Amino acid sequence: MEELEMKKEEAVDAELPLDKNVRLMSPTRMVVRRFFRSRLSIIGLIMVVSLFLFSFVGPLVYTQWGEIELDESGKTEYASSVTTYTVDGEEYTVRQTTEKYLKDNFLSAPSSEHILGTDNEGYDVFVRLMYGGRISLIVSFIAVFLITILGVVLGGIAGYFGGAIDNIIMRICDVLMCLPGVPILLIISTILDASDIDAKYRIYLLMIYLTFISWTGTARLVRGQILSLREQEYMVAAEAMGYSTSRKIFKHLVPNVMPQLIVQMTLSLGSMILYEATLSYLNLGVKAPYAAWGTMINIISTNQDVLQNHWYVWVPAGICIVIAVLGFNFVGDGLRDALDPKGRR
Amino acid sequence: MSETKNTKGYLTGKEIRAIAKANNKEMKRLEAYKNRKAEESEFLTQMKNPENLLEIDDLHTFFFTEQGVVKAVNGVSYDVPKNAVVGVVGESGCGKSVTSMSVMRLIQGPTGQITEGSIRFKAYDYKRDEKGEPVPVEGAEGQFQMEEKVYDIAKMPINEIHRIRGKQIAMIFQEPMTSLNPIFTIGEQLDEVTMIHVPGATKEMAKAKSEEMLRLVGIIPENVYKAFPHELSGGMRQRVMIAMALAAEPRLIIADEPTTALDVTIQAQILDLLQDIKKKIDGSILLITHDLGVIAEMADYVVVMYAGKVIEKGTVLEIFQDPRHPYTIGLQKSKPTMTLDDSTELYNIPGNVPNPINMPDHCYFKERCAKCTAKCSGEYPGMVQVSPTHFVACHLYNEEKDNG
Amino acid sequence: MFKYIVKRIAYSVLILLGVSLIIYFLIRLMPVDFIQDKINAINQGGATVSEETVQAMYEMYGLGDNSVKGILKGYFSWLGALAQGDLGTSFVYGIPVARVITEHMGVSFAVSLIATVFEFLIAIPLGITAARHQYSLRDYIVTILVMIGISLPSFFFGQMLKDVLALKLGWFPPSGLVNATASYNGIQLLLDQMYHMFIPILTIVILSIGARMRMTRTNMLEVLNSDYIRTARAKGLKESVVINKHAFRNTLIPLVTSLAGLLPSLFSGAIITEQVFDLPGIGNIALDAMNRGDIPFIMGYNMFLALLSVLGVLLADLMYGLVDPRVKLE
Repeated sequence: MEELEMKKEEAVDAELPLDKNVRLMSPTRMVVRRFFRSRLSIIGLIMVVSLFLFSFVGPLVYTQWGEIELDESGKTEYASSVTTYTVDGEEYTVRQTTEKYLKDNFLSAPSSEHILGTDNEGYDVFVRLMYGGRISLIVSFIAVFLITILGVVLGGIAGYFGGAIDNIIMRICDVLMCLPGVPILLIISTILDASDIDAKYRIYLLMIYLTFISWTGTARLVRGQILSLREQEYMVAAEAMGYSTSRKIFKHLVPNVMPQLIVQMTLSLGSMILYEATLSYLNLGVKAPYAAWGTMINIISTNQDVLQNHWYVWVPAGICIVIAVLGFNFVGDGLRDALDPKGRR
Repeated sequence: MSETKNTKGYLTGKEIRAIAKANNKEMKRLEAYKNRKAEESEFLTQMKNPENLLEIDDLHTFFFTEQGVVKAVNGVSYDVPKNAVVGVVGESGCGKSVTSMSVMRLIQGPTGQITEGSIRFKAYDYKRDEKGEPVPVEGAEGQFQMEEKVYDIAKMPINEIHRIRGKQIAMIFQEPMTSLNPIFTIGEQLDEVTMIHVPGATKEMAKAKSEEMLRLVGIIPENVYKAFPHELSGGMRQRVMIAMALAAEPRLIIADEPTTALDVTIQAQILDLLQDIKKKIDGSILLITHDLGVIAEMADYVVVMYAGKVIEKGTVLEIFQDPRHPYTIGLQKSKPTMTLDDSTELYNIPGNVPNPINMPDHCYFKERCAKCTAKCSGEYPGMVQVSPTHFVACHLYNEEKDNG
Repeated sequence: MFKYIVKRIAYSVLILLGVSLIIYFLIRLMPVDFIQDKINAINQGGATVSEETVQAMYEMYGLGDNSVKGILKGYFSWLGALAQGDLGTSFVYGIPVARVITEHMGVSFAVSLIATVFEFLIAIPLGITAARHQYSLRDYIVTILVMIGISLPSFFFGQMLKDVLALKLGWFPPSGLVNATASYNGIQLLLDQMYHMFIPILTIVILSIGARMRMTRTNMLEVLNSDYIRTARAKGLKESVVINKHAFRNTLIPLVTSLAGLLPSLFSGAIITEQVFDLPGIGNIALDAMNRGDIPFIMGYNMFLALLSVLGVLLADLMYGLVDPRVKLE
């Protein structure tokens, strides 16, 4: 009798051998674990988080200078000249030093007063780095957000309904993909010049235009996923079960598209930051006196003296861009590896 | 922290790191062993039984995964005699394919590694001088001296393995649709075999050989020689794969589920072809399948595997008429037959194969076994000989032997 | 085959029509008085924009008439001119835009071509080694290099190279295409131009290598895990033959296809790099034109780029059919 009892218990166990013998992880936990196992993703995450803190919390803590606050403590420039006179056969040399007093303390080297010195106008470089970071991060988040919404909606419509609608949306994609990126923004920028937009909002408008031509990648991704999922047996089963459209979309399609979408969003954050920086560098985006990382580098394209002798004006901004883009790319790559069910190893 | 998580059933971060560390060390060591340079004498050996062509002896092939070590092949031993067909059966994941891949040394490193055991193979190869050049037969143009050598494949460095692959042992895979290189023609892929394995082979020789092989597998060469793989059907591709396997006249052909991916009618054709070839070639076939019918039709000897171990082996008659292991008996019972009347339900073995990580110490079949006794909770049963050719790993027969 | 090509070309023309529609729409967004301001600015800057040129442009784009009919009429008259290869007359240069483009295309093409050749030559072997030794130290180094390459802004990296290699070390000239103080010709001129192009090319190569390397690595990994590579190994081929013949030829398919797709875009010019090093390439010219309000040029340049990318897609498609026997052009 007792033996029979034991048998029964074991039989139940045998039905669930996995739970008994091996400890399994939930998918989410597995993703998180895999993500944090990669050193590069952790580094990326640290980079991104510290840039966020630097840009958004930094200006609240370090309040010595403002974004467009000139250091008017003044600066004295000395110019010396040597003149030689000959009076009655005797030579007189006159050394003359002129003291020139300037209102703004520009291009001063890093000091306790200015952690990274001041730029050619007399703004504090360190503080402008923080404000520049704000712009870059906000702008690229907005752009990626808009791109994703547009892409998901249009790609979803195309993939789900198929037929003529799909055809039209995909042809629009083809056309947009053949539009040249930066040169088109040159035109748009000219249009913005013409319509007297406040320098502060210019970059936002520009990035919104950018989203109109950049949603194609996301749309194609979503459409492709939906098309391939529609062929899957479980979708056919869902169809056969008579599930409603919304249930099919939210229970089956969305969870399947999500991982790739998240990866793509992270990676495009990096490329949007690059885009923004490039536009600002070309003086199309954020314009002086407002700060952006690209704008801060812009000065060296006209001023060789700054390029050669005042690294602290432009190098930090470049490093910030690299950290931001690299950070997002590392995180995106780590996410992709963590989310890929085929997985590494 | 780890305690609470463990009750939930997750691996903790600490455990994962420990596993990764241990794995990396082991994989590094085995990779280095695999990639080493070695003198021939290091992997030359002797057969235990000269009548055998292949002797797999206590083979262990492990996969080092992030959840732990998967012991896919865990102490497998079986022999392939000369001119015989040995069938290996077992359900998916029992390690039958991994065993055959180990013989070909095709296990994907660094995760998958042969950790222990030997694979002795009696090769019939060109005799080579000190420089590695084949020694010609005096007076006969294009002929070379041959010699017999026994290699321990498990101990061979990976850069010496081309002595075995293709020439001595050829393999036919499960997936004919993807096993041919899509951008080379059938002819190019077939010729290659002759070009690398026959010393001094010319293009014309290779083409003639390829065409001969295609005819052997029932294909008209003119139709196929210049075709690309995607232009052929699955059955045709599998025939090409067989022709490719035969091209270098190997002593052993490993057919790893050669018919699984094909239509039933095509399956029959391919099996007929293999039967036919078995008669024509002077060699053995190692047939891996989960289909008992195929085994019954083709094999002389049968090896039954379960969860990485051999649980029973014997001649085909012994296994089919006198199965001893409860698993083998279950397998036989679960086979549909024509005589079964409607009232009898098809038998199925209860439960699932245990997860390959954290295998129990006792018999792996214990949880599913209807005949298990108290002894089954003890250590893993050893091999018991029930006839000169019939072996089984089960405590039931240990007792029998103990009793008398 | 022939039918397929004709179909593809017809399709490309359709896409070009779509692109032209967008570009035309953009120019119509520009207020007319703004264009006039720009013209005045150019005139003050020393150049003279003749009244004829301006009139011709107004006529070509059909500006001034903002009714639906007027816009449509303007679009078709512009399209008609485009079809005849007439992109209008540049305000700044006073010559047809098409001529400005062809005159400056050479420099851009030379820089891009050399850079692309080096990019492929370096990226492919590196990508293959990374794939063959997945998760090894080599793989990690390559991965990090790739990441840095795709994360560096070209203007920043270009300026850094210029600062270090040209200004600080003085090994290379910092900008321009020719030495203005010497008059070279023949071989000497060519050598001098190469000397000037060195840092720009270096910049482009380093920045573009990453993506190409990653592409090669991903492809190679996919190929190496395929069943036919296992077959090749099972045949008894040496590992080097497996990699260099069986795997490499398969990896090459997407690479060759992408190369064909790149070909037309070699003419388009690298705007940023040309700006940083002040090369008189088409990209730099376009940027300058934008700053000075040379509207016909910007429009023409954009259409030119669109044409190139449509051509690129077409070429890549056709190439794919040529190199992959599985793809039938039908």
